[in-house]
Amino acid sequence: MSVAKVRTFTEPPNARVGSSSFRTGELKGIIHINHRHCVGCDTCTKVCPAGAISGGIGTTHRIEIDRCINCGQCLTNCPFGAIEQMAFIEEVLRKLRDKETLTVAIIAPAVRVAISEEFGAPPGTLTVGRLHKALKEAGFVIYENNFAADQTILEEGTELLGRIAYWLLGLKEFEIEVWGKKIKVGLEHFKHKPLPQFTSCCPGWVRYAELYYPKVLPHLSSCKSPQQMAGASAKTYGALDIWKHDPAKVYTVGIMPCTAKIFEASRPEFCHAQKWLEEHGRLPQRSQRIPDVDAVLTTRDLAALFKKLNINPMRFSEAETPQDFEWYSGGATIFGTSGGVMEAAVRFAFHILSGEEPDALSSAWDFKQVRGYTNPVVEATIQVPLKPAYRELLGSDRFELRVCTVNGIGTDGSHLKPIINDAIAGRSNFHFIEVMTCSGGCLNGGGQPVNPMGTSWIDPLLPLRL
Amino acid sequence: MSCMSEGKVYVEKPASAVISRRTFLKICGVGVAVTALAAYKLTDIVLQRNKYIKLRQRAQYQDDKGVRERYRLAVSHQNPMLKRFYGEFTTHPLSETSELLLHTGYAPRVKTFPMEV
Ligand code: SF4
Ligand code: SF4
Ligand code: SF4
Repeated sequence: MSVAKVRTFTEPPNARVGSSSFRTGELKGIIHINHRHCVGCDTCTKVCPAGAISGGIGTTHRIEIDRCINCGQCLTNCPFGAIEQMAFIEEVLRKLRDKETLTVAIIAPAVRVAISEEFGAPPGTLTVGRLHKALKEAGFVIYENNFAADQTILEEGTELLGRIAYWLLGLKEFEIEVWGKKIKVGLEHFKHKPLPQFTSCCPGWVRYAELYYPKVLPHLSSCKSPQQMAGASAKTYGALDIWKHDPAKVYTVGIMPCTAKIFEASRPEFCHAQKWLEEHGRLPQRSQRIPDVDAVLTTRDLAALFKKLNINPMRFSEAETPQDFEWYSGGATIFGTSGGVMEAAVRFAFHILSGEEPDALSSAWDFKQVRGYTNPVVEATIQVPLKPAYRELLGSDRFELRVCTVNGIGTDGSHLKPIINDAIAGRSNFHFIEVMTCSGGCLNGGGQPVNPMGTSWIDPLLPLRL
Repeated sequence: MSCMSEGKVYVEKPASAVISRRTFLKICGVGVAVTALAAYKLTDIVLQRNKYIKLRQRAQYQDDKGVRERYRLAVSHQNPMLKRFYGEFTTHPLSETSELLLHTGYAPRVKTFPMEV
């Protein structure tokens, strides 16, 4: 089992100069077609969700970066390895060598199901304990992005219930009970948060919405992606309360199956930890910007970094006892697959609305009907029994939660467009819609190992119809 | 590596280079064989391409199962460290600290650059 080599390049000097659809600071041209290697086979055009690639068959193709959402699907699907990725491996290595810096690995769910391919293991070899050990060997401390996924569910799940309470019940305030604690959520600002709610964990999808469907933006959950939640929490709570390290010397590295996350980390608004630290007098007011996430490595980049350091994660054992931010729930780890964010949110909403404590071993807490698997769009209705307090509010003993999973935006938006148009026109049937840019979810992301079969698109579009 | 300065490079591939008729026919013959082979290979790819996604998906659900069996954690709020994070830091979802650190906003990019769908 071997994987294809993907060429990388370092950040060019003008990459953060703002222009057209990029604000100053945002990285441009993360995905780049090397015209010396492109043979014009046109595969990339067929997999691009954003219609960002131009070029006729047999001619060199070109990415129009203002239209590109950085998903990297063209890269993993190019049969000729002509597409390259901007990478920050050297920068991270430098920080690892610096003894004063605490380098934090924010490790995404889908990395653990694919990185083993880079070290000769069969696809689908789950790598958690040994990946953590290899990262520690390299000098990282770990902030599981799965821990951040649990944060996301608490925030995004509560937001969803808030939207339902405001728009369907007309409530101005809403009470939920978590950990036996009653929490009152004010709903005044929910008039700007209409239903249906869309997920916001996928930066490819967020940029897609910002570029092509600005009308849908109020529908996007205000939650940051897990990566950005992790960065902001690591430099505040993590640095001060857990690691007891100077927050200014904490360097956060997103380790992602995704090339769009490289772009996301560079979005100029994401320096909320710095803002919080300054407000709380934990950091002198300073002009230099401290991003919440300092660098992003793709799964492939991490494999390259390990190889430079002579570390093979497969040599370690899987067994481990989670510490601090290594803890995560089952709902969090399935974020890496299409329908996973949805299922995790449904599990949480079910718990809140029904008042039932989950039995982790029971399949009653699986919601297979929302999983994407290899279907382009999945729709499901979940019957949620209500606890007495909510029964009164709704005048019913159950709530029908209607959800939809968009498993990949699809070629030129084919899977997503009908769903989005319904939402904008106000005729959507759903309460909650998950959108992942990549078919299958992040485990098929643009930063994942590229298998020599080249292509990984779900639709039977290319290269042949079956 | 210049990726910004690419501009418009439409390089015609050298298939149009001058070749004799005989060579042309020869190439065609080889071409047919190669195409047949490629078609065979490509069918293979179509059959294989979902295999990777499915195997990785299976591993992701295997992790879900493992975490639930080992630590009895199926739903996010059960994460013991998460409970601590909210207890010691942000207090509750959608709290002021949560809104500042864990939430964000979006802005249309069409103002600066009108895009057609
Ligand atoms: S898939 Fe690769 S070789 Fe084919 S046109 Fe696109 S960049 Fe060129
Ligand atoms: S496939 Fe993704 S990365 Fe490639 S050009 Fe299209 S939007 Fe950009
Ligand atoms: S689906 Fe996942 S890997 Fe693909 S662009 Fe979105 S976040 Fe990145």
